[in-house]
Amino acid sequence: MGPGRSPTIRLLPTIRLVALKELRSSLRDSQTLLYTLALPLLLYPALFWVMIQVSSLLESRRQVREVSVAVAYEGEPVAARAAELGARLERATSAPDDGTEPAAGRLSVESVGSPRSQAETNALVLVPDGEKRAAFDLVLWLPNEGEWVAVHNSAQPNSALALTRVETLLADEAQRARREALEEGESLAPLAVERRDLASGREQGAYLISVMVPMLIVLMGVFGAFYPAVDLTAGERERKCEETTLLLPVPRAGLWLGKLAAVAVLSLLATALNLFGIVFAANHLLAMVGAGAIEVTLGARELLLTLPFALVLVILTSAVLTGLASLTQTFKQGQSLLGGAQMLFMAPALASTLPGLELTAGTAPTPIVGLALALRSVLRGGDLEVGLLALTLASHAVYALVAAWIAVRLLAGELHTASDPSALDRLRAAFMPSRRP
Amino acid sequence: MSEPQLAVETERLAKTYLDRATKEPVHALKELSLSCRYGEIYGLLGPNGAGKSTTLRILSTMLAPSSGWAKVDGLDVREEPLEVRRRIGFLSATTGLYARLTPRETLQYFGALHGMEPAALEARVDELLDAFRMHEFADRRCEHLSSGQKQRTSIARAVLHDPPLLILDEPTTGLDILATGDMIEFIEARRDSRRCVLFSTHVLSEAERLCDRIGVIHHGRLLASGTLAELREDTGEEWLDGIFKALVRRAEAGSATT
Amino acid sequence: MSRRPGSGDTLRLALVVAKGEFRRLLRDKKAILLAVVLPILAYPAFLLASQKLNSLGQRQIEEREVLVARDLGGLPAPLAEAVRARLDARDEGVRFDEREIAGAREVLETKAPDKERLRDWAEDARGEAYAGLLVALAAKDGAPPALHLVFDGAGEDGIALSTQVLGPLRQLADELESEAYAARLGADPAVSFAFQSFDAAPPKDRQGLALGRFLPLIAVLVLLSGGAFAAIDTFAGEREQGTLETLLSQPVPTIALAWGKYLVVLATAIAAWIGNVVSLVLSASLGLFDLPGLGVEGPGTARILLAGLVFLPTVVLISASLCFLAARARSFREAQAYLLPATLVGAALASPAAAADVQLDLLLALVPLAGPSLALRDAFAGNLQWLPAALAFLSSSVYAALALRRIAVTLDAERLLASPSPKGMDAGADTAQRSIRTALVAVAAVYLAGGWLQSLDLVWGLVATLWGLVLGAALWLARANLRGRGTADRALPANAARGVGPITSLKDALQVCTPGGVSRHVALALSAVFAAPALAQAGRHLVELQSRFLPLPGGADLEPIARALESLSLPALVALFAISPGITEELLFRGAVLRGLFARARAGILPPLVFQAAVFAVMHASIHRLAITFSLGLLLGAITYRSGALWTAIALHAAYNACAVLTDRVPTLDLAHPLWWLGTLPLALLLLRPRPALRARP
Repeated sequence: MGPGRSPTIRLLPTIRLVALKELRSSLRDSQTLLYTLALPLLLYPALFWVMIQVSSLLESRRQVREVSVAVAYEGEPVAARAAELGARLERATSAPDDGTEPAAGRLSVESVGSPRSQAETNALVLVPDGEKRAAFDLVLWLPNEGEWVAVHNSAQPNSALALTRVETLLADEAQRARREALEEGESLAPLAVERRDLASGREQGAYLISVMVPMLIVLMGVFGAFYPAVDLTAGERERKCEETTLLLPVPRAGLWLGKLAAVAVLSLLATALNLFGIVFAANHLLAMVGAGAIEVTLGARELLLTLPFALVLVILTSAVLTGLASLTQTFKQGQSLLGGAQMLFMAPALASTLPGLELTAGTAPTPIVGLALALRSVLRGGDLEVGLLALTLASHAVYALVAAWIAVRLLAGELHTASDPSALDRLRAAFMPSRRP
Repeated sequence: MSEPQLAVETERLAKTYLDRATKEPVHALKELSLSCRYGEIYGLLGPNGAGKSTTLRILSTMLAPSSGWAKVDGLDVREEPLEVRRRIGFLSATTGLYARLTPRETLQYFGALHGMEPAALEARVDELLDAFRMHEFADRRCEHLSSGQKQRTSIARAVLHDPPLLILDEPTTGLDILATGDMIEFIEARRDSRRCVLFSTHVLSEAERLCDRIGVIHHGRLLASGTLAELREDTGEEWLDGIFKALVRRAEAGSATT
Repeated sequence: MSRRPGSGDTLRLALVVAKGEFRRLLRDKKAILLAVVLPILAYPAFLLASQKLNSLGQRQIEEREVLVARDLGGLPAPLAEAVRARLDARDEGVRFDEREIAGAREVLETKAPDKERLRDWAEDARGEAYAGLLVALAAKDGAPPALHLVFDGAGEDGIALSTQVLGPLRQLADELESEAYAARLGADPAVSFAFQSFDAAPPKDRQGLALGRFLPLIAVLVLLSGGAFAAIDTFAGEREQGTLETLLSQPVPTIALAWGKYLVVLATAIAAWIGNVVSLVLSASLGLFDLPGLGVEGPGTARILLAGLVFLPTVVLISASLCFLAARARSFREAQAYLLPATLVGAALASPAAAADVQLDLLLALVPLAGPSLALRDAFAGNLQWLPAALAFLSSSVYAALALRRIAVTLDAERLLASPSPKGMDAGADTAQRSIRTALVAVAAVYLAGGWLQSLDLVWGLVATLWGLVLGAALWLARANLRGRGTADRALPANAARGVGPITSLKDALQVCTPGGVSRHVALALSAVFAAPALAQAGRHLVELQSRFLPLPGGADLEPIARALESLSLPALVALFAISPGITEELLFRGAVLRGLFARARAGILPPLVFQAAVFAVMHASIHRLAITFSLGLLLGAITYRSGALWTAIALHAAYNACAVLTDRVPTLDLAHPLWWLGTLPLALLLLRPRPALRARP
């Protein structure tokens, strides 16, 4: 007597078993660990730190730069006015006695005596041939009729800097001139305009989160699924473990679904950790740059509401990526193909950053766009549009299932040997069962 | 060259690693001294992990000895690695081929790396294609070759510059019967042209059939070295497996008493 | 036959290798398609898609109507009319609903309204949802009447509202004020300061700048992704294919192999860059999307060539770094894993060029990638400054040369082929490695966890950081170094000339033993206390010197910290800011880390000292404190090495920090007096005595 018929192995236990095995082996792999654990927790804060230091360095360098400004005029009738402005600016820009920096930054003012036309003035801010730099970074030129003209050269970094410094300087001088004309404490302002923003720091933080985080969740869902997807398909093929896997006496569909589940779990894990890393780093950063009023935190309610969407997302991304990866032979190829395929998710994920786009019956079922918008509305708090959210969830669940089905069809092809059918043949085979032996 | 040189000579060669997991030093080779002459096939025999590969990699200058010295054609492997590499051909079971180059291109590439003149190289490649019956697949990419064809390509690559010493690390592992036969014929042919072949194996029958002299290596030590007849006489055993077991027993008894 | 290869041979062999690698690379059509061609197509597609999405969003914004309830009852009639006229003249998205809002005025006058209140107000109007309120409050106590725009800034409607309504209202108020001045004085004094700006830059320069601002970033990203494909294939791929052994057994110097492979990576990177630029320019000229800076006349050949020239060393540097990363990796996957961090760092360094008012100066010219990026931008804008540009060119050439030299070292057969660590032969290499890793992890922990703790509570957070994280790291490392010293360490003799070597005990691992006798260290520590004021003066001079070219940016808000510290007593301050860091930071950096680095036989003296000082400086987390903390770390390390134990460094560090606290709190104490410099004499004299031999080794 041969061995008796083995008891029917059901699908779900197989999926669970395969997924657990894949998870265990993936989490023992240092690369996967690097990507899912170390990177989100260390890279983002480190990167934020580098960014702060770079901007601090740039700001310091900007501060010490001295720009030169000239005052010129078109004709004698306005010479006196020009001279007066020159005197005022010189007074305003001379360094205070206490050794601190002048408020407007380091700026030297010079009057250019004789009248000149605008063309002559323009030449002052241009670098003449063979010279190292222009005569001045900016010239305030007074025509015979009308307002001052701040003649600058936007292609020169110093000139761009001079323009911003002169802007504040002139605004300050204008206010000072008005004050000087009045009695002490007197005001002629006929109307005050007040901005009363009711949003608290927390709410502003929530807004910031709702704009940025949905896009990040989508990206993380893709990045998280990326390596496992390639590893469990093309990687398996490269390690020559495919045969061993195919020999198992379990339903093939269970096998493939188990792999998909493992990829999805890894992707979800990566998403969660990335989210944590980014929110943490952002909080740190905002506190450091002095925007302490804005609080970037994620509440339990928001996180719970995010979960179903994230789940559907990772199932979708892992199914799509795994399906695509199964078309390739080696890790390298899988890697390159998915590198391009990532773009499919990235562009629509930008939807959450666009203020004009809203979750409607039209956008909700749009792949990824709807998901990003739904995540945004969930993270923003306030009243939930339950119907639209459910529509998004349902439509994306359908996409995810379809993608999973396609992925399983693709994975379930024959054992691949050295003389493989091309990716196109395999795609065709997956959808035309009659052609398969 | 006035006096006949030894092709390979090592003296108290040792190699020590630090094991990453246990942080304990691992002595892959312990004071190994051996010599091989030209016109001789020398087989290093031993189980997996005995130190065969380490020895061969030190001789091919890929690893540096921790202590002791090794000379190839009279040149110290540490002092003149480039000159040593000019004199050896190296082939191991794990040696791969460039998947997207053809056998002809592979030979041309390595010939150029050996500094061969284009005309001479062309002639040599043709000669090798003849010798190894490679013409039918000479212009097919290596990734599409059968394992036997790949093997022949690898061999041709190793002897491209006609090295006086050929180092083969388990050359027949993973080959089918036909390919193994080719390999054995090839090794015998090298002896006839007065070259030296140093190869490692754990297949006893190969060693019995091919080797002029055999070195038995175990746990990084050379237990015995000599012709098959000498080994038989030494141990009183008829076949190599018996000889090997007897040598291991003797070594273990020796280490137990000291 | 026994001729040694000259440099000509090396170059010839490198070219042979490069040719072979090229052939291999170009044959892998699929990989080329996926890694090079696909991105070339994908970037324009991506830009196009995001542009389309953007315009879709823009259109939706324009179509959206925001409703605002307006109650101008508090304004005099003519003023209310002027406001109405101004607001209603605009036909953009905001619509106003004129109605009286009960109670709003009282609330706005007295206290801050909350959202509940806004909702109440908004809802009582016929079910209409108002996005905001505009309420006028009457003039009072000499203050003019006020218009309050109440809105929710955490939503698109509120943000749109505030930008669309506040601007015109402020402009109106300004005009009215100006009129009031004119009525009073005959003319508004502010008018004579009004100006308009005129950009005199030639169109060619302007376009060049627009192009040059974003090209460096694209260049860095594309060079990295394009070159990575080749680097990973030629270095890590070779290893996976099993051909590395064959290659290394050829009679070719490793440097020639490295150069040959490097040339391939360089060429691929450049090809990918050119391909991407062409694809961008083509799709822009086909009208697929707007590319700034593509005007009628291009930047001109001369500028393009100049830009290419200044950026060339950076291209070399990027490819060399890629090769270095790929050669370090043991597999294709591992190499791939290094890529994302490298890309992010590259992008961060190339980004300053995007700001038009950042000038390439001598300091920035030294920063890799940043300097050449700025030079590239300036070359396009036609205002390249020769001196900094030449410095940027030179410095990146030096970095590139250093990176190239590293590649050959990395292609070392020993490292690549031997699976067990070959470093075991250098006594203490593992110990040194562990010390490096622990120091870096400790910095990350201090930065992340410590920063978080200190944001919760400054004082206790600092205590927890120093006594928990820093001390914990020091003790852990010392224990691990002692346990993990391995038999190899013990078996091999120490480098006697250096007087440092294998770790013998936990005390030794932390450098808290007393070689040469206890009294010697007591004397040293005491003299260190007297040397501290002079050191603090020197530190101040260094900071002043630095502020001349790297001043602290304004706007750093230190007030909360100052307030939190005011409540502390002087002893508490000294304990917190002087003694605690003195003990804990010294135990970690000059104790465990420096000792671990010294355990390596080949390390030398200077590299460990420099490394620990660098990490110590980075831990202080600010570019403005880098120089001072690095110098301090170096000095403390040198003193520790010279005295043979940690005590002097602890005393000096604590006393140095205490000087800052005391100067602030005890004005009568004149620590800035030049006579304090005499205080350094005892320490200097004591340190001149030779370093005592370490205790006998077992």
